[in-house]
Amino acid sequence: MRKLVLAAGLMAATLPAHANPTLEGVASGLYELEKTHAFLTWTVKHNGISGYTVNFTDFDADLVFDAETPANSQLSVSINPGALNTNYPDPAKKVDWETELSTDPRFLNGSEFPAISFNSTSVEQTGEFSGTVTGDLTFLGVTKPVTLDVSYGGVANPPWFGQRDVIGFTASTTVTRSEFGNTSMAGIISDEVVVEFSGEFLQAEE
Amino acid sequence: MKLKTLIVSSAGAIALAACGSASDAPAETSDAETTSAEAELHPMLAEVAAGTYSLEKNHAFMTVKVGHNGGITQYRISFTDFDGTLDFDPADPESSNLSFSINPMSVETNYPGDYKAGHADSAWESWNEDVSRDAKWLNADEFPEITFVTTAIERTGDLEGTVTGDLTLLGVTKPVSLDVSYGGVANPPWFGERDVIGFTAGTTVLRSEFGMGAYIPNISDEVIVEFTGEFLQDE
Repeated sequence: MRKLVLAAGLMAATLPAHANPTLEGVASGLYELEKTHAFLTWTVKHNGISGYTVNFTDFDADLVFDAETPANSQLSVSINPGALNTNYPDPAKKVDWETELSTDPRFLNGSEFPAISFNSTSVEQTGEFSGTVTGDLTFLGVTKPVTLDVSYGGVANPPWFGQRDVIGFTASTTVTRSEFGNTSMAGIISDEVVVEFSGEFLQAEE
Repeated sequence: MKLKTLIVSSAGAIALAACGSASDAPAETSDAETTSAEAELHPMLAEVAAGTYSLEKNHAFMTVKVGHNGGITQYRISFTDFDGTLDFDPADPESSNLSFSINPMSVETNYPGDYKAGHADSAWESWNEDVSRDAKWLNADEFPEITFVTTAIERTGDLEGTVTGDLTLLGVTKPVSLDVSYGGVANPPWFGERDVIGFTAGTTVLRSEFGMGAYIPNISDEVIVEFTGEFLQDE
């Protein structure tokens, strides 16, 4: 059944491939999340039989990217647990359900812990365009190391951003929520939480 | 739900915990099994009722992913209004039948901030509405429904298979094959005796085959469609 939840992550890895991802010519330096092209989801296994996927809709990230030595890069992420989209089908109940997930002590407990954060501590390049980013995840007031599997997708230069580079990534990890003190509805909701990111970073203006 | 559901489910969970993979779970049957038909079934299928199931919409997700900016990353969209009916036979899954209907007006892009502030010239009030209604995208005013109807099912593993069917999108009907994994059965008490069964499914569609060619290849022709969700046995 682990396979079931991870299937989503595996499929995420098979994104429509970039023709020729390259690091050549990519500017090093500070990049900021391009929020209109960035997606962050968490998926738990529900009832032991299917995936339950929720979008974070308010998050930000800074990336200090070293194109020549990617292992020297640094990533910091901040997530607002009060901004969720569950795609719950009943509009009358959707807001209540998302508020409950965001704020209830059984779930994200955002009233007491209003930010989820990740700060990288080390980066390892494992392939030409892939690597692992290890860092400290702070969730529910608990800080633990977490390792992200990251793929670099390439660079784009849309004309409306002038000379600024846009670089794309996908990333995923599996968090064990009990390690952060969250054990509610164990058996109905999996301890493993698959977190997936896909999005773009825009070179900061000088 | 049949009588042995809880026992078998528990055994299945233990086997899975030990194996870490559903497909690795041995198709063991206890010595107490009495009918050969049941003895041949995978434990995760043995106690599932045959019949008609309907999508349990509170636990169902339909996501679409396209490559963006030439494929440097994935742009992700969800549909929030869709329905499905599944005629399921655990003893002969290849005889099952699946139909799906998606409302293209129900696009959720999770666009952050004020769309109109940055897109004053847009004919649409939101990015969601643009994707739903614009003629270069889902053109929902002219084609208010996306449908999938099964034509053939092939079992490729104990708990996996391909479901081939006719996808109708933008008024064009083409065959599409879904890779499907069965996740098991649950019996939450609030559904009484009715079984809940879970699936994941995925496929890749070429949107140009359905006449949607806008922005290829900046936005990829390939569209990854992913489903995960539950179906509830009809009363």
